[in-house]
Amino acid sequence: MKRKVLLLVVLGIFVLSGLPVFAVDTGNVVDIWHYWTAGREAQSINWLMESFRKKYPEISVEDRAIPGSTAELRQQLGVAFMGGNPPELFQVGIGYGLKSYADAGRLMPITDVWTEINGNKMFPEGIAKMIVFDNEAWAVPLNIHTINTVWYNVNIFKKYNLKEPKTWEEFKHVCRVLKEKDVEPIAAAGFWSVYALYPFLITTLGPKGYAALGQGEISFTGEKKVREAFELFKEMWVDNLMENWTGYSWAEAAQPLMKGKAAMYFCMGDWLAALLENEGMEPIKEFDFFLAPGTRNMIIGQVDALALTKGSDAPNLAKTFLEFCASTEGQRAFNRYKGSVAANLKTPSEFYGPIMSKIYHLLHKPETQFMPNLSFLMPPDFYTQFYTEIEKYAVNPTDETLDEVLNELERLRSEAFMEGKWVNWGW
Amino acid sequence: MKFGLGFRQEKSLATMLFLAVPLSLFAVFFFYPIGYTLYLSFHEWNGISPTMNPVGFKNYLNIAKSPHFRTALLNNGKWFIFYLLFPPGLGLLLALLINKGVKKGGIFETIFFLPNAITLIAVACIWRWLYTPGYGVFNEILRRVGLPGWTQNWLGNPQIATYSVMIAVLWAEVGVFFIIYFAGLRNIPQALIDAAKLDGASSFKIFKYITWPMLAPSTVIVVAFSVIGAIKIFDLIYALTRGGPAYFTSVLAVFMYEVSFNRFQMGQGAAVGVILFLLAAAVIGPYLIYSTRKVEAVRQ
Repeated sequence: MKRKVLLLVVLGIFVLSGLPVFAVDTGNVVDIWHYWTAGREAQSINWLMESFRKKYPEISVEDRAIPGSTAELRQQLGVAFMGGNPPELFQVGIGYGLKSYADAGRLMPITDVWTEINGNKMFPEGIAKMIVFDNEAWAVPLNIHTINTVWYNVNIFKKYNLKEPKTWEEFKHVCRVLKEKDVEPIAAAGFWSVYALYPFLITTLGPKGYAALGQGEISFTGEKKVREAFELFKEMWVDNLMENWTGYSWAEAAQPLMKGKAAMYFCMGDWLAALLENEGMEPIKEFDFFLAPGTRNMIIGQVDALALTKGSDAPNLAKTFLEFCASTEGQRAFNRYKGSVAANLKTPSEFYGPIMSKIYHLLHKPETQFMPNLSFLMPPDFYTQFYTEIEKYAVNPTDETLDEVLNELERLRSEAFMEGKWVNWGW
Repeated sequence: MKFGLGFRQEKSLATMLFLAVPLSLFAVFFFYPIGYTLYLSFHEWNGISPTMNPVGFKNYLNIAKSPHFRTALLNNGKWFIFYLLFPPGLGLLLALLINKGVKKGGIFETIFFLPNAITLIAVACIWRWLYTPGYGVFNEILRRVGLPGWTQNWLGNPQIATYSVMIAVLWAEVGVFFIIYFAGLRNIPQALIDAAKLDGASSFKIFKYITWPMLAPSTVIVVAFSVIGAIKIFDLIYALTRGGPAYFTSVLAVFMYEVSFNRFQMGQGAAVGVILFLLAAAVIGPYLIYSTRKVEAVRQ
């Protein structure tokens, strides 16, 4: 008898929990999904939320960290969208990633917020171009990670009397001296070859050509400068890589740099600085960076942003949160620990460490141009195959491989063109 | 007599009712996903859009054009050969050695099976640490024993990376094969072997004419495990190399994951899934029919 009663109670709870009257009311909670799961990244989102709670104690804000990266977050969001229960806000990359959600009808435009904060003036033009499209604004950028940074071991440079190279000729000289002294010139890791190619593409094609390539407007086989970029990439980067680089992860590849076995780490994002500091290296004194030759007046960057979902239970509260994120206060809170610089150009710099402070000042030079990571410009389907082909060439840099790679990329570019996948971002 | 039914009718109704639950579960969790994957493979869908576009066979044609797919298929072939030869071979060898030398094999069963109990991500972390080129354990040992020229870029050299992953898989999975064969050996009546010995049969002849045929039921399971393993291999490859460098260590399951979740081409990913399913069915189906008959023959 007792069992039957217990069973009935359990069944009753199940049934009642399905009724709307007993459902948890999420109308007053701003729910944020992201993949800043650990370390400084987790600290950044926590600090941002704490700062918001202090300013707006009447608004509840909760977050959910999804382990993994874009792919895993997208899977979870896909399920949530289908179930009709998405979060208010979620982490997203600008450009194509953002557009894919907007095109699917999953986003609510935030043009009113963008106008209110004067987003076109507040953020670099290059970022605004990838957030405002189809006459609407779709997200608020939180930060900029710089990826055209070449990190170097200061002691090695001092020991061999080397200076930060400004041109490719000077870079070549530095590599030659290092090889003569039995020091590996460049540390690198598998999967990351594509970032190393960007400065070479900008060198031969120019910033406009780089962006045009990202918009599918330049042929990989018809434009000689693309081939020249790959050849320069081989001469300057591939030929100077440390032994067995393909077997390292990005963090493992920092070890030779720290131990003084390799002198430089080429075009690894500024998150490397946090790792080197954690391992006990002193910024500026023991490790420092310069911008890759060919990109000395630009920051090639990637940006984290927050977008508002369509069907959100609390869109107005979420917009208040977005406005806070855009403010100097919010940007400061988020970037304090993140190891990135604020996307809002008016954010003061006094809270940055020496490396971020240097990047901040480079970003704020009047001649500096913000250029996006190609992953923001290109369709994800194309970009994934693009970086795999770059790695294929880096692993086996022969003329035959280059022909194969360029032909395959051109085939994929044409295919994407036929399917109308390329987007003109206005570069 | 209840509900006005006869004994037989009542019995068959009860049977149907009992079967209804597992059959419904099977239909919902097995047939529906297969059917839906097939349906999805003829559509274009990015995983977040509320609608899908029908595209006919376009996803299959795109896959056929991809060099990544061809490399992945070839690598699945290599894994097929590996899985048929090495885990069963080593599992059988270990089982024979332990069966011959030890009366109670429990401790060895535990030792050999232990790697199988470790989650594959942890296994991958261990092996990544062993294989790291600069300061990994294997290269360090080679340097210390005076063989620095033998050090390798275990996971980064496209020529050997797949074989390096195979060694990790062998370590992780041989325990299952060992246990199946060990159990099979323990089930062979000792009287048969003793009789053969009395007749002067050599160890090799005993193995060839008694042990091996009597292990047929175990071999059926082992080979089925091998084939399934070769087709569904994913975890360790993805955790160790992500299919790289470039896509030289990729297999169909890794390709399917990449297409679906990195390129957001759910339809194409589903098409790879259908191809994997058909491959598995084509290889395992005839084998199971043949081997079941063979086992019956041995039993009789």
